[in-house]
Amino acid sequence: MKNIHLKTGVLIALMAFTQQACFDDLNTEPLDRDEFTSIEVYKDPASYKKVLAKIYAGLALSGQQGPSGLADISGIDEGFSTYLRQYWKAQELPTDEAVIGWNDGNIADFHQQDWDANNEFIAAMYSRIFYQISLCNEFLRETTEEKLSSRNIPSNVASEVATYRSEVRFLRALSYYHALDLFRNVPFVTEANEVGNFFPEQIDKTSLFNFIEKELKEVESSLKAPKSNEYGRADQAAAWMLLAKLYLNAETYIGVNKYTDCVTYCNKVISGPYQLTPNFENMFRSDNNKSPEMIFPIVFDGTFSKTWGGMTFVVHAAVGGSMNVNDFGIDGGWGGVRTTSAIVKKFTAGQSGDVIVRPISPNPNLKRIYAPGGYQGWDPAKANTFSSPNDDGKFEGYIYFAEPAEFKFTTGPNWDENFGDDGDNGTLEQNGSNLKVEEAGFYKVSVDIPGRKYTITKTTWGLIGSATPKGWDSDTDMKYDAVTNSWSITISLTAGVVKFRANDSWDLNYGDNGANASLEEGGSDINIPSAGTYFIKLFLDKPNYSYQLEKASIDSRGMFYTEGQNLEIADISQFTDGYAITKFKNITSTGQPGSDKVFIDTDFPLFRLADAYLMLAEAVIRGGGGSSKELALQYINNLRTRAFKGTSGNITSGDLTLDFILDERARELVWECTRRTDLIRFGRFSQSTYLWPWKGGVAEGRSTDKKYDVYPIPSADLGANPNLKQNPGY
Amino acid sequence: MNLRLLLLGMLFGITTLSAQKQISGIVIDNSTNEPLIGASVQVEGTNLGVITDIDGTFSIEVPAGASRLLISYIGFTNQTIDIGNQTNLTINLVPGQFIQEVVVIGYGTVKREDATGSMQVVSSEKFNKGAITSASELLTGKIAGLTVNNSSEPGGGAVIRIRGGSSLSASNDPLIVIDGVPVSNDGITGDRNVLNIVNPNDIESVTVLKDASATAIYGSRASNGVILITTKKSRTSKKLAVDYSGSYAVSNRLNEINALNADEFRTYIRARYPDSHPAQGLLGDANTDWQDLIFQTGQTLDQNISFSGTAGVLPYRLSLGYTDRTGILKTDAFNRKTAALKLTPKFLENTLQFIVDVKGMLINNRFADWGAIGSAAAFNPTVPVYDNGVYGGYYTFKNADGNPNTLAPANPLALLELRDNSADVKRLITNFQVDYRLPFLHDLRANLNLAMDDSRGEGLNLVAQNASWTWSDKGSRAIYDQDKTNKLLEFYLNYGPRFGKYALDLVAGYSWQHFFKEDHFKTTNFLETKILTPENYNPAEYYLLSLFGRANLNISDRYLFTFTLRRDGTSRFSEENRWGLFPAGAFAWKILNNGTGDLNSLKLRLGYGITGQQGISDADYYNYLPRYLASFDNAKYQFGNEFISTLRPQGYDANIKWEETTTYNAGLDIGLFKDRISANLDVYHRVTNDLLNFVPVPAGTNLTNFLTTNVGDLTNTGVELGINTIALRDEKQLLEIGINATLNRNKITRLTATDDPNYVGVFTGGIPGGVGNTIQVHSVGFPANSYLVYEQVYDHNNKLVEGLYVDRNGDGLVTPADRYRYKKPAADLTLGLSASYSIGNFDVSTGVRGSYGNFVYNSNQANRAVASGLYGSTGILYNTTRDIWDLNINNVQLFSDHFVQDASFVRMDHLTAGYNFKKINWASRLRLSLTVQNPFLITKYTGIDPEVYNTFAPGVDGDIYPRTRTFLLGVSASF
Repeated sequence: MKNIHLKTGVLIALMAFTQQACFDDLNTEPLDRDEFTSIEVYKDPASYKKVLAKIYAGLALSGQQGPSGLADISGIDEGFSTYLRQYWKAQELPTDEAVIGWNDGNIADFHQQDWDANNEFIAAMYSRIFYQISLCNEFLRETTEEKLSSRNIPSNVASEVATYRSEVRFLRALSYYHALDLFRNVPFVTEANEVGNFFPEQIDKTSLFNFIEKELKEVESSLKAPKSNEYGRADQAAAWMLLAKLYLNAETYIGVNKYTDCVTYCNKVISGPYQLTPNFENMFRSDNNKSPEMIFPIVFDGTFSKTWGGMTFVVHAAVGGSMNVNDFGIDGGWGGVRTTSAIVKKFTAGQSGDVIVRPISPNPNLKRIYAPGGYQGWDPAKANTFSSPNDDGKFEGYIYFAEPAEFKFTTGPNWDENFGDDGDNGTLEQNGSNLKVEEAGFYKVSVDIPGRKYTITKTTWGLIGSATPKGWDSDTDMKYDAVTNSWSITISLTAGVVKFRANDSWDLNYGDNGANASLEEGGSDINIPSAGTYFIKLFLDKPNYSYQLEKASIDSRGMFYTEGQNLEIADISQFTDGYAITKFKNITSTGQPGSDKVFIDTDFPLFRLADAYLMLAEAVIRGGGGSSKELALQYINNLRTRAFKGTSGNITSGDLTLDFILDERARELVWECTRRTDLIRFGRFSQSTYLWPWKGGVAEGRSTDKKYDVYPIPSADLGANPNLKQNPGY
Repeated sequence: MNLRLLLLGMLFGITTLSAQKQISGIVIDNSTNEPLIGASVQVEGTNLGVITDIDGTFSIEVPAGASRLLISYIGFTNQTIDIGNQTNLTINLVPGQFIQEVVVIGYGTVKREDATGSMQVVSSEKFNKGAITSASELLTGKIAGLTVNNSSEPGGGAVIRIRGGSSLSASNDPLIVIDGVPVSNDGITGDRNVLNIVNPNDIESVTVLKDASATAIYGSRASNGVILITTKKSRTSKKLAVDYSGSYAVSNRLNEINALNADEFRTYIRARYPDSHPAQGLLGDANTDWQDLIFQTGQTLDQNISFSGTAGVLPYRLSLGYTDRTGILKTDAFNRKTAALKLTPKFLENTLQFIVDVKGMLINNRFADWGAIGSAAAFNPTVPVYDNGVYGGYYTFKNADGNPNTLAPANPLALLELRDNSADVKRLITNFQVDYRLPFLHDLRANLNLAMDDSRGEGLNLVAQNASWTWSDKGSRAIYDQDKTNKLLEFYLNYGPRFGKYALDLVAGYSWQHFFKEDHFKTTNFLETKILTPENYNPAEYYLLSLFGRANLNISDRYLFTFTLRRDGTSRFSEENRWGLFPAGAFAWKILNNGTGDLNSLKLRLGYGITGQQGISDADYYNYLPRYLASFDNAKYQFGNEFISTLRPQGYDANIKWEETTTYNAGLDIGLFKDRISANLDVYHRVTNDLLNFVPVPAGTNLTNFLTTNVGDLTNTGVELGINTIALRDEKQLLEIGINATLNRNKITRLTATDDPNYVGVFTGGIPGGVGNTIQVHSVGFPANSYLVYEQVYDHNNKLVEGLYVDRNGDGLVTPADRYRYKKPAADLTLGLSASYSIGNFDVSTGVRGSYGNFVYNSNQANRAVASGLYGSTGILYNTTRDIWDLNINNVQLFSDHFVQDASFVRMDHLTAGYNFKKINWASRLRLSLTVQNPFLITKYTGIDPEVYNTFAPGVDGDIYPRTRTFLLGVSASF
């Protein structure tokens, strides 16, 4: 019995022991060496800068693993979730500056301006903004002087942390500014709100405007002086730029004119140690961190800061079609983003001196025959004519049939003498049967009245020559435009020569003997004096045959890729519809590739000096005090001198209008996340004051509802927070 | 201490009298030589009686004057034994009546007829037949309320659901208990199915506990039901028994994506594009059937041998299993070796029993790249397989500069052959149980259960340097491994006295579980000259502690009561919220028992209970704690010339707590014609509150935008019917038919903290065709994962009108607000039929399943049968499917309800014919069998298969692993 008692006792003791000892097991702490409790983190003075770095990284990266993994926010594919990628889409895709060919989720709704509160990209932008604000609030809560001293943080670190706090307040103001600009009335949280279950109040736009203004002014003095902070971190100039933007748009946001304040802060920036980068394109290359123009960048690195969003998106998505990926320092394009012809035309319209060769006027004195037909109502007086250059009874010319056609020749503007072809054998008979073409096209017609013969040859025209990308090997096709009766092409040419050629063969070609704009069959090569993008038109509808050579733009900011690309967009899903923009590249100013072919070294210039010039000029024109129109003109011409590599593009004070500023902002800042805000400030974003291709989802553009000037509060947050009211119209 | 127990004993009137005599023994099924659990052993003419234990053994005090024991067991003929001088008896019972079940329940067993909860048992002879590598496949279609969707890859996983899902974001997997050890549902890196640890050939029976009164004893993890797997026992006879079974099977794909063949493709492209169009220039002369190239005939070789007997005092069973299986997708392979050892010695006149259970497994998996399936469907069929270029010689789409076109699909065959992703998994579950029947209080039993589940998975994923899809990095080399150690300590006391017409069974226990795992991974390029994903270790742990108790009261063998209470603690929640209390109660009334009429038994069951859920994702082990996560070397941020490693505050919910499911269950068990027909009817209603749900948090309130928190409610309501009949029985023939049917309706009743009527819901169900597209939604008032789509407009010929949807809200515009919730992936009605027929030595059996009201989003049609998708802006041609001829769609209509298609089906899972050879010299039993798995499928669904195995987005068809048809030749023998 004793034995048994002992065993029972052991069992019961074991039970009692396990119950007592093991309840403490439920208190666990992370075992992972990458994960720490909040208490552990803030005990270590070295942690503070790392937490600060996360807030900056929140603008660039998607998570803690890079390029993907351990994402910051959920609800959308991680690669799509970065701040810059969503901000870029929200600011560029609904405008004339960009279309995207993908069918990701509701992404097409951006350009169509028909999004709703369930749009996941808008929701991701909103989430990113408030994620960033939450990070800032957490930092501010954890770095109060009381907390630092209670943790015995050394005083030198504590004073550094004080600067961090000012930067964090700037970063929070930046995100609240984006919230104001994109969403207007948003939930409002500060460091006074602890993390947890509560419903933030919705702040009205005026109060939010005032909060941002107050915060920026309060931190202005404690931020480091311009260019005295580490690269990548915010300084006073970053805060000034943000204030200038806030004031410039104050009428939009709160209906109050603050242009003088805008000028004040632009002046502070302009008087700082910033200079324009001499070569415009270097502002957007992988060593742009060295640019003297950079005020506040979002920093990327192909080795240490990897993401599928951010600049990886900006560079890759813009490359496709026949573009050479090596020119961009990447492994392959994503074939997504292009621009509309509305932007391309801002670089060509009204710039004198571009037309290098003007077409000669038609010669009205040549002898003619007439070609009445079903295509025009069988009226010889109004019919197409063919001419006889040598007045020898031999006539030739070109005619366009939009569909299969029948016609005849008449020797005068009447039916008195007419010829047709009985038997369809190439010989002409008086009063013969109708001549026929079986398909639509542009035909060369040669008629020998004395010899009673004729030929009809269908032609398509191309450009060939050493100046073209294909050299003398093959020609580049031109397109026929029935309105102007001309063949045209937009093409990037180098210095060299070109000729016009029919049907991909030398049998029929035109050159220009004597460089007099009159074309001769088999004539001399046409000289192209310098490299550039050219609009070329070929006029064959009337004698003498002629052409126009227009150098598209000599504004170096017009960085378009046109080969194989159509200027106008027929199908948004095709990358080759719409010109590509070659602005951002992962190669250095000296042409060296970035550190990785997938992930990008190039930093995004969120604020740069040129924008300060443009803002100042606009504020001055809008009546802001504190500067002058002369200074404004000088700043604008600084930009144009750089763009045109000389003073040829400079404007006069008469040119400096608000309309000009809006266009100039597009030329200078295209794809730099400012277009939507600009168009709204000018009242040209929604509705019908300004239409561009595919606005509203139709090729010619259509009016859209005014409500689209502000994005909707995402329905997910309306569902989660009963204090929120949706923006009007949604 | 012993004084008190003695007093207790006296109080209950059960004292040990010196005149009594102790008799012990074992009750064995004469037909199978297996021990019978729960057989009744009664001293004739008295109320004294005991029930045989889990090993069929019993021990009983017999008064001096008693001479005979009455042994009875339902389904067997009663037997009376003269005691004489014997003290150790072996009693062979002969099967008599049909239907006899003893149910293994949590911490004990119960006679089927005494069960108060909703539970069902499938024993080995009723299991599905075929090339089966996982326990889940044994049960498909067998039990009302249990749905099993098995992957068709070798060794693949399964989605097991009992009565629909009770959760949205938290786990919906049932708790799996193997021989009393609850195992973690988390997969093991490198393995495809947690159930691979048990060789199906070792399984004796599987019990499925469905309602809360049955599962409540498992409390914290039992919300989704419990599956109890009991493996085969050691034999008590001295003679060594050797059982062998082996099989060889070949599998082929049942269907494939209906991509155009090369000629059809050429014709289509030439008709669509003018001669001058660049698309024409991309057509080649080859005729390549890419799907044919990537698939093969899969083969399975399966061998099992077991040795069972008793060596001295040591009953043992040792089994060894070997499975080698190649997938139908080339390079996909699975190899498993299992060993299981069970020792069940008893001491102190059988009052002290030790059970040692060791299960070991070695798996070698090679994982094929599933991307090849989609790539093969999309790859231009007019180009050759090889171009003898630098990318391994495989035909590759290139840019003008000669580099691979990164947007083009990679060569499907190259995806398989230039990658070698292999993993070795070792797992050992060691389980040691002591069961001690206290001598001074014989109805009191103490049980201690110690278990350790150790596993290690080690994988290496190599992509060759010349693979086109990694050309810029020059291949890749990913190592990934994982160590896991889960420990269990459980102790319980079981006290089962009888007082006249009252029989009481009390259980009180304590459970401690610790789960630990450490993941490690690193990815470089092939030659390790460039780091792609920096090395990282992620150890993590959690604990579960429980106190539990159960009381069963049986009054007059007519009224049965069960009360269960379990208190669970988890380390995943804060100190204030970590303990949950889960009560359950059940009542059963045997209205008619052992009747003599046509209706011979009738039992009513009523149950109510609450169960808990804390099974949120791995990342949420410390969800309640404020904590920071350091960045990897790829995600630093540059300040000046320095790259700073960042620290990110993690989102957390300090108030996270248990999700609770309340279940109401009413059931009827009916026996007809001497139990030749038995039926179970259950009606249930389950309400889950405080759903652990991954939902958007109010913006700005947390350090993330989505958080796992307690928000939302949902309900599952259903009816289950199971009928088993012996349709025909005589000396030569036996025909048994089992039918089950389940109706389940799932509805979300609350989703957010607010009740905003404009709130659409939480989007789910990612679909191919652009990133970020989802097709399903969790919405209040609708079933989980309802499809959110536009209503398609059709013309008078019933052809789809492209781009035209019904303006459902009548605002004159078709906007996303016009989408509606249309159907859902879960079936309304599922049916199962199993039948077996034997005549003489010959037998056939089959399993058929039906599913009604389940809908599938046919993404192959929606995303591929689109004309504009044929020629990409990246300058390559993509193949399409034959649906394009009929659909005639130019641009994708991803969100049209046209593609949400009825996937109701009837499928025969297997058809088996067997022959049992009798009277063979060298074997006591020999059986040959032939099985066809998946012989037929009836469905209107035109995609690859109506049963879509997609664990990420249930009901979204896509580039899924095709189901197979398998022919299997099996042999089994006993020696």
